[in-house]
Amino acid sequence: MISGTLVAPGDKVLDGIGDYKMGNGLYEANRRVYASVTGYVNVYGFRDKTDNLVQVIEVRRSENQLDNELLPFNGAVVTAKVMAVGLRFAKCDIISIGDKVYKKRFSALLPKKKLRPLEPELSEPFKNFVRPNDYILAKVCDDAGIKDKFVLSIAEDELGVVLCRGKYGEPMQKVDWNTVVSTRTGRTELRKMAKVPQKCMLPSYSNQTDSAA
Amino acid sequence: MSNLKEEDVQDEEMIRQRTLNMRKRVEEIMRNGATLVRESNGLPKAGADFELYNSFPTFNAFMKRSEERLNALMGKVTNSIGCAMRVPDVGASVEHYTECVIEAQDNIAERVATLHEALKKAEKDEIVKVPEFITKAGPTNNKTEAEISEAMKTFSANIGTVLAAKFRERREEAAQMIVHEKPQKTYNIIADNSVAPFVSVKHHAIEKRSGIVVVDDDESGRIGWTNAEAETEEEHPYIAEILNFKVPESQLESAEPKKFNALKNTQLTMVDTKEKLEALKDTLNSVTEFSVDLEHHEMRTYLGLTCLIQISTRDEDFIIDPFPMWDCIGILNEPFTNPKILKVFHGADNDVLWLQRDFGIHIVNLFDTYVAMKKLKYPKFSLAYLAFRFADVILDKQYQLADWRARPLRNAMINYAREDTHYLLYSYDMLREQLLKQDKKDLNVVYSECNDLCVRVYKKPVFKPKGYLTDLKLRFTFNSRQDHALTSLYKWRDVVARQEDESPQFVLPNHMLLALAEQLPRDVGGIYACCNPLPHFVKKLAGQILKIIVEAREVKLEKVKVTAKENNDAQEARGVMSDSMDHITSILKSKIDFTHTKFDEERGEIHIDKTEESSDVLRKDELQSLISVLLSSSIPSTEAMVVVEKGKKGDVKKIKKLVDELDKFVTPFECYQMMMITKQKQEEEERKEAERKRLEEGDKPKTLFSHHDAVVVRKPQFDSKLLNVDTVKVGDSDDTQQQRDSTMEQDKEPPVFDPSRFSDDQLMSKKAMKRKREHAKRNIDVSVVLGESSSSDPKKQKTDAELEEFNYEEADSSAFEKPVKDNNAEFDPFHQKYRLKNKSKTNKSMKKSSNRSGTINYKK
Repeated sequence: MISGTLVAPGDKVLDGIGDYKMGNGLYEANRRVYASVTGYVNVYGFRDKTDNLVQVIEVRRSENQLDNELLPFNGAVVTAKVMAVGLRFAKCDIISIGDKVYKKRFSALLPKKKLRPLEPELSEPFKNFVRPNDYILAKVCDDAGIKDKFVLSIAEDELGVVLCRGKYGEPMQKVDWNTVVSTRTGRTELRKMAKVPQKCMLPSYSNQTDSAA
Repeated sequence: MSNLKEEDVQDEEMIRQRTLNMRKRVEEIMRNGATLVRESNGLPKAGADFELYNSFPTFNAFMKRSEERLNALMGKVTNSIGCAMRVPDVGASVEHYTECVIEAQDNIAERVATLHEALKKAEKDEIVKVPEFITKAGPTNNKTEAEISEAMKTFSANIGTVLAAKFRERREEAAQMIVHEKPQKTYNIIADNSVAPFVSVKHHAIEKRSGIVVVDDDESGRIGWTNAEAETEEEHPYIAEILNFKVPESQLESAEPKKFNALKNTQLTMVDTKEKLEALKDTLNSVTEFSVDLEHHEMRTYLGLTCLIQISTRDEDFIIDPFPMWDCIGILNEPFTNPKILKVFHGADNDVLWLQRDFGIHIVNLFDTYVAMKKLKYPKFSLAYLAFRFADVILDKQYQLADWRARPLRNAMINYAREDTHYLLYSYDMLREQLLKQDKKDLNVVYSECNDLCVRVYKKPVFKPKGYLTDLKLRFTFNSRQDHALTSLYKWRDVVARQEDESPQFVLPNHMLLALAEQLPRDVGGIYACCNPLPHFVKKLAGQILKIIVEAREVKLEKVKVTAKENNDAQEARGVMSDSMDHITSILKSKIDFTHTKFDEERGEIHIDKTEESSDVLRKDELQSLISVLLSSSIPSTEAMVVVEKGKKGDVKKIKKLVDELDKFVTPFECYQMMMITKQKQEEEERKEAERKRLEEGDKPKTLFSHHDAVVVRKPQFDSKLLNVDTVKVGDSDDTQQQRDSTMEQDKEPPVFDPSRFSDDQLMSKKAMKRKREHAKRNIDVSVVLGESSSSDPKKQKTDAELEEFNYEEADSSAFEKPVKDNNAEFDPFHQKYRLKNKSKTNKSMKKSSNRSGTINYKK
């Protein structure tokens, strides 16, 4: 099958697997390989552990991996909202994968050990990192232990809390990478902020009422 | 006015008198009852004196007689009041007596209650309907009996007794109704059960134009046996009449429905002689309509047997017993085929065929009340419902499935039979009126449908060898043996049935047939076990059955493959849809859309003849459609759609402000992306910096090291003078590098360890040295001191002898011109390489690891 051919689900891609390895977007039935998604056939090679060149055949829609994937995939940077915080996990809802906002929110967990890089056990409570109703940038991890939910991590510098609200619903402002300050009371709270330019701000409720009027 | 008053007064007097008399009577009975109790208490009691008294024979006899008398009395009394009592036999136990008496009393009490209710009702209504009393012997009025039983059911708490009574009645009737001899035998009715097709007799037919007669003379030598269905019209003797039949005007007009006469007012004639039949025929010829019904029996006969014909005119009821005059019934064909006389049936589908088969009677001008009821969309189409609706009669249907061959016919059955036709004519009138009211054409439609019924020709049932597939409910597939058995038994059953003129079901019921085929019993006992209760012919011909089964057992065992067609037919007959998927259904049921793909895995590679495709339908290019799918999946641009309520003017300014705000809003992910971009940029810059730096400063080797740097394997430099090494390292590193390179190039061989270049104390271990010294001490040889070697003395002497003077001119001096090769490029002060070779065998260092915690392992 020539690379770049346009296929639809159910189209036969190969008569036999041959030397190729199966990639994404394919399935095998009756010793034949069929496409399971619409897209272009792509063959790429890489060197595996034993330094052999492996040819992988796959079907994908575009170059960008983000376009290919429909669900949160391993390593994707997602925007999530923290729904609840527990002892060992924080329950989050994945709102968008990259730039794609989904109607359906995916359930995900943020384990305590993935809050800071290189620090496995933390004595600090969750409160100092994320709190409920915070919007965070996180990365989807590959955790085999948890099978029903996605597992997130904010261990990197660029990941963490992006937007958050205070006790009275007022938006919090960033002071430095680990603290935010409430715009209303002036009290500071600890968070793990993401090292990204703070371009966006949550609208304060008082402003909203003004605009409505 | 005054007259009435007088009468009223008189009535009142009478009533008063009557009540007084009643009261007196009742008082008398009470007194007698009391005396009875006293007297009976005086009798010897069981357990006290009774046994003693009973030992006397005279006492015993007397008691018995009294018991009989008393039982008779009880029976009479209860009968006379209409609550028949279950009289126990003489000698029954006391409990039984008590039970019966209690029962009787209950019944009486209920009866009183019923009557009381009825009378109460009578006070309110004008009509008093008191159910008639009947004695147990031969009820003359079935209708009332049915009503009584209904009433009793509703009022009686003791349903058990009522039902028990009914069952007993039926059992007794059944016992009396055994047909001792088959009527076919008694009356010499010959049935043609052969395979030859049915030949219908034609009476009174109008002479048909003799057309071309087709004589089919095929090789088998049979002439004239035409193939059934195509020749239906030819075969029906009255086809000409029926096709030209026009409904008489009188039947299409609306007329006043003529109410039927009460049953007891209608004369019932039993027709069982030829003369009576003739008379009947004349009567029928004289009327304009009559109703007909048949009673049929199909168990003890192969083709079927008409047992009774019931005919009713407006004034009379006739019941024809066809057995005595079987061949003469055909004379009735005249009124039946007279197009001016209407025949009314209910559910004539089968009756028409039966008449043809048995008597050669055909029908012209038929009205089927069943068809009419269907047309009028009645809730139910049964005759009972019809009678109920129009005649307000509840037909007792218990004899519907009775054996009508029994002679003499019981009154109950005769009554049931005549009721079937008695109300039909009135019902016909009513239905006709309703049809005309509904739609004028409906009546014609009904008549035409009935016409089609008349056209039907009786055909003998053809034996299908594999008929059991559709007739029987096969629970599972049979293997070849069972299949063989089933086929053979099926055939055998048919043959026997034809021979003995019994129905196949009587010879061997279906379930027994299946059981036999399934189990294949080895002996007669097994056959009997399968067939319980044992049919008569199984018992008689068990030997034949056994033979068949034994034969079947010998058939080679293999799974029988029912062809798809047979399977389908069988399933259709059962009304079951096959659940299996085949090629076509899988595509039909599949939910995958194959229209836009080139390859269809269900169908496989098929070669479509492109020329067949007509260009009426514009086929979209598959590629285009796929691309459109891909494109559509891309994320649509975030265009804000503003939804404004209908009617309200959208506030443009506000909306614009909102849209601007939305546009300005930066999603967290975008921030992240920005961050990543900046990060990447930074990294790029850093890398570039590093590159630049490197290029600028050259590639100096690092002189300053820190613990962060990677470990450098440095090749140590050493002084060759000190250690018998050939090479001399002088000058800068560059030169030595070049030198080394050159030597390396030249000398491709790996550096060989040459022990001769070293002195002994450099090479050997301490122990070896010690050994050598000892050895030397022992074998002190002067020659050594003088420079000659001691060990190789004898060899050397030989060589010495051969030794010639060495010619220096001939010696190759090129070795001196060559640059000296540095075989030992690596500094090895502790002779590790050499040691390692030996040490690996001993492995001492590994054993004493506990002592060597501080030492560094030099192993590479």
